[in-house]
Amino acid sequence: MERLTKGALAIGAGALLLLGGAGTYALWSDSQAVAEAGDITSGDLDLAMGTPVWTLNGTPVADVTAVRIVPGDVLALTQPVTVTAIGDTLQSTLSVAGTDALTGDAALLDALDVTFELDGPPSWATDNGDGTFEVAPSTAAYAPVDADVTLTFDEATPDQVATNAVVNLSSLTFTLEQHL
Amino acid sequence: MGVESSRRARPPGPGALRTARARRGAARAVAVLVLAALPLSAGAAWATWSASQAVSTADVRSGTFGVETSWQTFPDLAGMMPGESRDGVASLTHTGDGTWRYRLSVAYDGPVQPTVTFYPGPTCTGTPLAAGALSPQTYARGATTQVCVRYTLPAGSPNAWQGQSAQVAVTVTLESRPS
Repeated sequence: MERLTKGALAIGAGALLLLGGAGTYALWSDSQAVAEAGDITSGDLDLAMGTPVWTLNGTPVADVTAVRIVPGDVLALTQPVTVTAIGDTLQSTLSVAGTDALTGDAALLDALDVTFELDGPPSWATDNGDGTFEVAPSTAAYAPVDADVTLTFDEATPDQVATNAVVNLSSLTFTLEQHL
Repeated sequence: MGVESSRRARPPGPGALRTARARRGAARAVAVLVLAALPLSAGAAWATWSASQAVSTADVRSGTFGVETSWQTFPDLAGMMPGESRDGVASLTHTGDGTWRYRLSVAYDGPVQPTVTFYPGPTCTGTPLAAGALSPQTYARGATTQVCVRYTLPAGSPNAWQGQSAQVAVTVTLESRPS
């Protein structure tokens, strides 16, 4: 190929490149909204309490602060609880926390056994066998269920151990907690 | 082609080493990031949802428990003869809280040991209550009951008991028992 021809081809190629570069400003494009389905909604986790009822050895108690328990007594709180555990993948546990944080007379604390049960239990709660319940996720709040917290005074408490003593229950809490 | 083959056969140049170091550096960085991410991930577990409600703010109080005893009919045990029985009636009164039952026991201090038999109630009739056994009935808070105590000098008492005396102590123990 002659030099003149080679030079003409080189100039032509350079012109094409420039034209091609100029064309990038006019490429076609299209776009769509990423989520056309609408809003994203988070779940809900909540506990609501009804009116509690105290019983002493199965007999209703009007004023628990007036009760004086003795060995062998079973003091029970029946508390209606409304559990909300909304979330497609929500895993949560219902328990009574704070049994180790009770304050008061050491001898009475030693003699008291605190347990937690859910009446039934309902189909959405699975007993973990350790005083806690696994709660299934839902799309709405569950119907109220009775949660029973029972304090049993060891009937083998000897002599006059733990008489005239006080234990405060304020550290006890119903806790619904998400876990991963 | 031959030129490319000879380049592959050549040991890696300084540029290749830099690249390898850079890759190792990148690997370390990734490892550090992963390690750094683990605590962050673990930390995230503390931020899961939870809801709590107090069970009760009430105080739970234990009661008191006691017993007061007295002789309603004092047993006169002086001058007893073999085969003879004397009765006494003890009164038991509960103080404090809860329902209760009782146990009775006897202890001797001295050479003479009369047989002691307990009968729930104010008369020494009916089924006796063995020493150490729990009373058949449960009593209410603050209730009072009686126990008849019969002392019998056995017919076969040894001669050595003649003219001797002993302290015979009857102990009443109340126990808190559900009704």
